[in-house]
Amino acid sequence: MNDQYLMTGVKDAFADVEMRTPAVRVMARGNVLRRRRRLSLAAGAAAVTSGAAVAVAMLAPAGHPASRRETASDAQHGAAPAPVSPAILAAWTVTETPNGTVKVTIREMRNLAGLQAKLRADGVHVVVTASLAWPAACREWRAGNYRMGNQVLRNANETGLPSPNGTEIFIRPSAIPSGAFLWLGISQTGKPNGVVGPPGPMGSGYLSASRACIDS
Amino acid sequence: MSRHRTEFAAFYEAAKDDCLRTVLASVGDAVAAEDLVAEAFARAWARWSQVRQHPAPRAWVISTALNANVSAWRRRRRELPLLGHDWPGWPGVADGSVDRDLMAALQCLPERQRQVVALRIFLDLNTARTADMLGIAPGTVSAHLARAMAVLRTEFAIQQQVES
Repeated sequence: MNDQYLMTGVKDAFADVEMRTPAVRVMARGNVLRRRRRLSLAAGAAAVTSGAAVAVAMLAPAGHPASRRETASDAQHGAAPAPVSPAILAAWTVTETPNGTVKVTIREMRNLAGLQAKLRADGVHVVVTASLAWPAACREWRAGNYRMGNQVLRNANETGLPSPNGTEIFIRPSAIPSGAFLWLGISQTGKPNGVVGPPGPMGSGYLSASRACIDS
Repeated sequence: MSRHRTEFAAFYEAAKDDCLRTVLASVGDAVAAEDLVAEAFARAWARWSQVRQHPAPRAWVISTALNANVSAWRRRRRELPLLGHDWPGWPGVADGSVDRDLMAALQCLPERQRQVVALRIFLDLNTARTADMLGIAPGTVSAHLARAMAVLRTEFAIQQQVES
């Protein structure tokens, strides 16, 4: 029995199988899917226009069991997460990794205060600035007499340059010394600080955890 | 829109049975296969302006249906029945539209072999197109087909002996 004969036999065995769903039902369902897709795209576009579409991963506070959760949040507290089209990237994302580090991806210099608040809310002692200078109210921890290893802060791109996805860094919150806050100074090359756009070089260090500094 | 509607309706009428047979041979459940194919066609209609330009719209529909089946299987995998406990046989084929032994033989094949057989037989796709659609090498398609044919040949030979 050759293959062609066998394949014909199998094909013949299925000859009586016929699709019973009428075309009108399929098309009605298709219309629903199309409307849903358009609504989703429109909602995503509206969120981006208002500058409120920020995707964040909710981190468990230090000491809590790790659970990786990524949600899209909008500006309204308590609002249900809105679907974000894959084509629409958030300004920044914060993602917990299984090994206890936190991955921060910054694509645009937008809402860095929100990034700082998010990281602090999740137990990361951090000061984020939109420049290569830390706040005037801050003092460097131990007057600069320390050495920060890459176990605390590591650039995802080993060259230290921003990756095509933006600036990607890993922070290990548990390795930040007690009494210090990790400073992340994010700048833009050739553009005034604070202007929306891709980030450039980043400065880092430890700042003394004084109230004046943290609240500045 | 009216032209697209007519065009899609013609495509559906021409392709629906072959698509259903392909997916049925792959998933083994007539009811699920009909649902998967209907949903895949609905998705095709939802983005018909793109799908109509696809080099092989039938392959697009089947690929969508099979991927949806993987998602459904992942959702249901904790609900798999225990073999031997009121096992109802191959669901959806009890109406006699497909020979039960043949369906059983198909379902005994590994999933990839089943998909290769289904695409080659019901869509008449050549080796290169099948490989392209499944994302595997052409040589792998040939190997899967040869192994599957060997199993089905045995099944057919047994059937012929029984009938004679």
